[in-house]
Amino acid sequence: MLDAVEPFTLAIFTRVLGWSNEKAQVLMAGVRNDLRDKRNHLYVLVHFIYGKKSENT
Amino acid sequence: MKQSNDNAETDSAYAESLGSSTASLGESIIGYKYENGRRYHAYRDGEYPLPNDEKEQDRLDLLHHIFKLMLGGNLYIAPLPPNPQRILDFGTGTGIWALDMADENPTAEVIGTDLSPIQPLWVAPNSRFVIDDVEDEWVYSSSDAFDFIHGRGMAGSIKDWAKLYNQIYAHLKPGGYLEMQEYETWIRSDDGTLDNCPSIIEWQAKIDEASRAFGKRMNVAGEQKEKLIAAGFEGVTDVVHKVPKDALHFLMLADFHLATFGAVAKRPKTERNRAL
Repeated sequence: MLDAVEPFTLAIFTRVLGWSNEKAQVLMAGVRNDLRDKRNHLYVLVHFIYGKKSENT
Repeated sequence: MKQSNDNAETDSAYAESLGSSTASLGESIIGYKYENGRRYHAYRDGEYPLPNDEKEQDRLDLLHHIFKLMLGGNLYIAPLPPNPQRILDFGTGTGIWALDMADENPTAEVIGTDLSPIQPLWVAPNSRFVIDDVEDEWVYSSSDAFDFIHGRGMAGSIKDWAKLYNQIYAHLKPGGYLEMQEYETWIRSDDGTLDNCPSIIEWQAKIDEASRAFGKRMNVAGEQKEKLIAAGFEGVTDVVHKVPKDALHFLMLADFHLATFGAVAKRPKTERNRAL
């Protein structure tokens, strides 16, 4: 999860929100610290979604 | 960056003999963009907001193993009939799911598509990779309909989910399956400890704001069930796995451990082959 922080953040923060790389790096460092802190019991949900096309089409 | 320049030069040489369209196609696909120390795709520049460099490819390959561990070693959960003939993996990334699927289904043809040409050059004879934007109009003929279509981690990459799912439905055989494997980009806690994470709280609110403004919202994993139903799929099922942060770290460490013993074969990367 630590390695996922930058890929999800950097392009949209700099391109869309107009943040500098430095400002984004500071927030990402804080996110990694929050993630590393074992007192925080954090989780994410992963969805596996499937559906079938009708047999009668 | 040097590799990219080298490739561009090779293509210029081609251009002299084969015409300018070859050069522009080559450059439009492998003329990667470098920004703040990360490398991004070139084809349909800017449409996919995550990097495609080797560091990211390693993350995607690890994620593949984490998903397999979640599914007890399986590649999907849909109740597919035996012997599927045609399988599509859109947004295939490094191609690792498609290659595993081709290995497990030697009589099937497995096609992987992506904006980035980061798949291995040496692949199973029943698999192939195509550079394509899944949000374009699909050009597969009706006689080439698929038994199974799979997408993973597409949240944040899709502008028009309804159009995508309508196209998928149209290009499935009757009785064919779609499976999406999506993680939420929203960190949670059940005991309130998220409240002690001011950076995460700010970060994920900003990711939501920025990805909405970009037109491709990232945190949409939880909405996919409704979107499949709206597109006409039957028996739509959403199986949710809760992945604790520490378990995710553990899974990653376990995977690295296996890798050191060669249990996880690392496939040659396109870039490394080109460097040779």
